Amino acid sequence: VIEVRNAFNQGDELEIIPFKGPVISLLANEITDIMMKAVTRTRPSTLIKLPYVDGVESLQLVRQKVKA
Amino acid sequence: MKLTTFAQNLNDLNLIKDQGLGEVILGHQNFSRFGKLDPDSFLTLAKRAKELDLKVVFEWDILMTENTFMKLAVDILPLLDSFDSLRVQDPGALEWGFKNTNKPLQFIAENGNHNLPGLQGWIDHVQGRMERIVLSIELPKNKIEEYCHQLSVPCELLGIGRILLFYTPRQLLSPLTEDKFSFNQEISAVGESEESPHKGFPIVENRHGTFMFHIKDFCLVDYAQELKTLGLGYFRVDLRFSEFSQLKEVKNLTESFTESSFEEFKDKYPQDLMRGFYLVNKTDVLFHKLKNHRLQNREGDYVGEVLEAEKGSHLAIFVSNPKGLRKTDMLKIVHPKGEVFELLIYSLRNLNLEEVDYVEPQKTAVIQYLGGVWVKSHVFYRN
Repeated sequence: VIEVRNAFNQGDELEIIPFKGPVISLLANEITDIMMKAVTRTRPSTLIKLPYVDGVESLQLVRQKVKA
Repeated sequence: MKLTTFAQNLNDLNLIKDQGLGEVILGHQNFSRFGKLDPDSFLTLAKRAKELDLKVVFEWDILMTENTFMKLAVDILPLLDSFDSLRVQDPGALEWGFKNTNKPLQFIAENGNHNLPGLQGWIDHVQGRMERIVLSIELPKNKIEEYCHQLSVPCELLGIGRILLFYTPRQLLSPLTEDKFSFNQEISAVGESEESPHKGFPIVENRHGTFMFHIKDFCLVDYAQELKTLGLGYFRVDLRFSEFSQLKEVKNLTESFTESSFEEFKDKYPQDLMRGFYLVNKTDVLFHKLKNHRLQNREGDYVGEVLEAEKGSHLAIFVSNPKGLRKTDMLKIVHPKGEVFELLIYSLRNLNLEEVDYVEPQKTAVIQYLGGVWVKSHVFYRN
């Protein structure tokens, strides 16, 4: 579950910054709100769910790769 | 009070001379953030300016890495004879100019420390070589007056021109253009926010990075006479991004201001204008909102914070209190603006949307929606 601060889109590449070790990259292909409704573009100040990623812990930061 | 401005071509120089200005700032493309003059053009303009009996000020205001600095410290040597004063922003460049030239120095203190002892410290450091100090447009009128009287060298202030909001040495526009030859070329764009209604920000990318400006240009032309009485030495006219021929109107307005002429000038000027913090600097009024006293209390009965408020559906609360949250709890919810709501939970779910009687600390609870409650509201037990 992610608390969204800046909007991003389905399919965007995200990076989870772990407390130790290298960043974990993932594609936000399946996004839902907490009521499990599909989301194509997230909104700030909302919670969204992404599929579980191995090694990710609570309170870790997620960032979006700058688009080139 | 004298006017100073930038020239980007020979026509600009002629207009500057015609308007009776005594000096010109020249921006070499490798040394100046917005300078467009290549080495040959710089030398041509510097020579012509001297023929016109204009004092030539060389602007060296880019942000530099050590490698760039070392290179520019060599590249400037053949240019030293072509200008009269060296205008710098980086304290390293100030030090270099102090130790390696005998030029009068102008220090741009627009973006660094603004306090009086600090500014006087820069002046004292160069032992009588400081010719002028450029003050920040963040200073309000009373501070400008105080600084002009207290500092031991003449002060300069932007009179009209763009307000830089953001700068990065990264090139943010060229990756978005399909023109593969755009590297190091100037690219202009207009930016807008995806998350707020703010739009119309002029953005420029050049060899030194990307610059984003305020949607309105800074203008104290209508206060020029007052600035003169405050003791300001130099009023900078920066028309590099607009129509340079308006120098004539600016000059006339600074000497004999009339509302009608000013209105005509504003109508022709390509951007809306603002006077920034000149009359009053109220940037600190938001501090109490940013440090909202209603949201500071996280002791005792504090349960947690509302993370999501979905109208007609639910509130999601992050439970911080070690006691957790029970379905029998009565809650008091404090809105960031101070409004207080009371609530008896009748639907308590975890993030798997399972109805539960208890949500553990450090987990998110989903309860029924309550109108008026927003994200960031604080939740307290009311038992």
